[in-house]
Amino acid sequence: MRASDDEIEALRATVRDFLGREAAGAFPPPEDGGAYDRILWRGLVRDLSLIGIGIPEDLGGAGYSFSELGVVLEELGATLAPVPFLSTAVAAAAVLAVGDPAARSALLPVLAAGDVVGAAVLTGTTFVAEERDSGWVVTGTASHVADGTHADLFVVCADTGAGEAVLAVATDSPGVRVRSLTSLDVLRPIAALELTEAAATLIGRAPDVGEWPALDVAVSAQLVAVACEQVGGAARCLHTTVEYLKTREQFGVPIGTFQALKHRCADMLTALEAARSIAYDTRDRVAAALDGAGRDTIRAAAAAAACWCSDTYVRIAQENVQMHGGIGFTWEHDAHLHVRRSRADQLLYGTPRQHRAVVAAALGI
Amino acid sequence: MATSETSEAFRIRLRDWLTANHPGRAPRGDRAERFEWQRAWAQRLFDAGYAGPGWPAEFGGMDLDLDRQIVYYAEIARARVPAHPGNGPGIAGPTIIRYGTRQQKERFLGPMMRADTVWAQGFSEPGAGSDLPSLRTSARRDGDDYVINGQKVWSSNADVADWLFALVRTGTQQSRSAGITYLLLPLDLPGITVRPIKDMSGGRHFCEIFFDDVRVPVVNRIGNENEGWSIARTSLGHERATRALSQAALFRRVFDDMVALLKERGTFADEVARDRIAALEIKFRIMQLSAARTIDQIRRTGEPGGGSSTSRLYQALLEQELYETVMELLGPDALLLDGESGAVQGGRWVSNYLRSRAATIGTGTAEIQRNTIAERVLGLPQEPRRGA
Repeated sequence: MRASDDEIEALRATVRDFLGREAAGAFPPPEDGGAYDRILWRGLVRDLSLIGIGIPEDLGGAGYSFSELGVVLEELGATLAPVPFLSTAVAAAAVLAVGDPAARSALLPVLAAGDVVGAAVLTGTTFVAEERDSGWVVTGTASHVADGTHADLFVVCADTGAGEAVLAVATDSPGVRVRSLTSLDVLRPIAALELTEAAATLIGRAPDVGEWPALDVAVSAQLVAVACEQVGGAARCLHTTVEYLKTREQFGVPIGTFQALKHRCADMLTALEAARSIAYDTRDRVAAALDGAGRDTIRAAAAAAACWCSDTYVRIAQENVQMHGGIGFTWEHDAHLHVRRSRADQLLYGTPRQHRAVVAAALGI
Repeated sequence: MATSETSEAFRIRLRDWLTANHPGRAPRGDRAERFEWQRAWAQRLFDAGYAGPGWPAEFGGMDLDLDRQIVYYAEIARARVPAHPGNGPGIAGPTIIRYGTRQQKERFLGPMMRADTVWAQGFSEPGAGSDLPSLRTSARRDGDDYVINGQKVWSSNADVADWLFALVRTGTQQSRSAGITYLLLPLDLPGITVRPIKDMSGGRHFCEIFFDDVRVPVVNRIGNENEGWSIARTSLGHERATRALSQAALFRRVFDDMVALLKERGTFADEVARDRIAALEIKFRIMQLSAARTIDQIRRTGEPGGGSSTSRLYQALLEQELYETVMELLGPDALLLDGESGAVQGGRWVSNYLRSRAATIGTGTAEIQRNTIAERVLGLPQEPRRGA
């Protein structure tokens, strides 16, 4: 089911109102340096049921699609809401993409209800899965898992020796070690995940060694979810910059009259509109791919979106600091939080160079 | 036009027609010969009912819905057919459709689309470039005529065109944009001298035009006297959106040609070359997506939306980046000009590289576009303008 334009705008307004940070700016970094905002989390996942927005109704969701989820993520990205929403939503999308019917019915209602925090670890891992009489076990490490600190459930991709598989690992199982890492993005902590013969449940597996289109869809969902957040964050940074240039006076005039600044704002808007074009398109394509359409081209499209949206967010976040001058360099100002988020997200899910390699391969060069 | 025809059926019908009627390669003769070749193609398109995808049917257009316009531009780009000569259908036509009198529409639009009359633009002057409202070419009312004196410059194809659409000063110099009138005039009137200017690529596409007591009937005026500025500036939103779409389709094809060429030359053995082309590929994907997004916005809301304001700047910069990249990746072979036996594809890339430098100058410099985006879209304050 796809929302109408009016429903989309209503959804956007609901999330925006709920976050209530339009005037107040980004959420402040947590004092204890690790916890997430549980009140905010409950509101988003229980009261508004937003994790389940793209999950089918018979699996406990609202029955919309990944496109509507993208709208929510854009708003969350704008405010840097300190909740493990992205990771949980992506874990659910991964289950949707690769899960067999049993796994979907077991996991999606739980995720949709907001009962657990999820994290998907789909790329850059050394996980190996093995099927024993007692069930599946997974061994290996993932060095940088966003919101891994908070996760109750990891959705991991592992090599079975006969093709890849995606499995669910509960954090409280034996053999699971989660080590919180002190890192750049103070609002979204990362963790190292070490699995040693950890008990796992199979979500889905490749029919054989080699290409697995369903996994491409899951990975693409992750990249594009991040891209939607990046569009939201970049838009907020540009808005903040422009408002500041309109009010800050030097030499007796608002500094926004100076071409040296306004031309950079125009360039930023040009990059941001480009980011919107590709993020919205790939968001809709992921929605279609989750229904089985266009799975062969989704991975390169998602890589292109990831590359452009992460670079654009980094650039606009840095310009936001620059154009605010000294105040932009202070801890109290939001600007650094966006620099942190944008740089972390640019590197966590594959670097821009790696994304371009995927695009190059799809181009046949 | 059968409205029951699906977009796909339309695509096939158009593609078949273009294949069957393709005019072949451009003549290698002089500019006038090439121009006539373009004109002949425009006439053939028109006569077969394949001209003016977005124009009203009563003026010889196809009146296509947006879906079919998308198909149209993609197929035209794919077919590598000559461009319409002159600036009529792109700029003057929509203005006449919107502001012209009944008689003006009947007189000008059909022949314009059929390229029976080819149009050039007379806006810029030696002293009025980015600051166009300071233009000085004067039109003094004398009975039923205006008498024009002054000089225009950078008028593409004015040497081969039949008609000119021009902005002239009817008010005082101080009235700036409030004293400008929009006129249409044939270029063979007594008192008009057209001189081609050799551009940096060696081409002679643009011209300067001198007016010495040139008499133009008042009935050739578009809109009211002194209202020409807003007529010329009126955002022809949909027109701009479909132009962005056709440009996107054309440059996508050029990019694909470039990738094919570099592949053939073995350029992609180099990782850095692969990376650079992948970066460009992403930008070209976005260019097409932005054009489609604008069209989709128009379809849903009737307005082109936020994405359209920046697409011209985006496209101009990307066009330049395309040719800069291909020069670098071709290496010294790129330097050989047309006629030299080792020239890469007849020197096509190097001459287009030179021409692409105009992408951020013509029809408003990139700097002026940035001003417009910053002030009109982002709402940043205007810079102080002396004499404003």
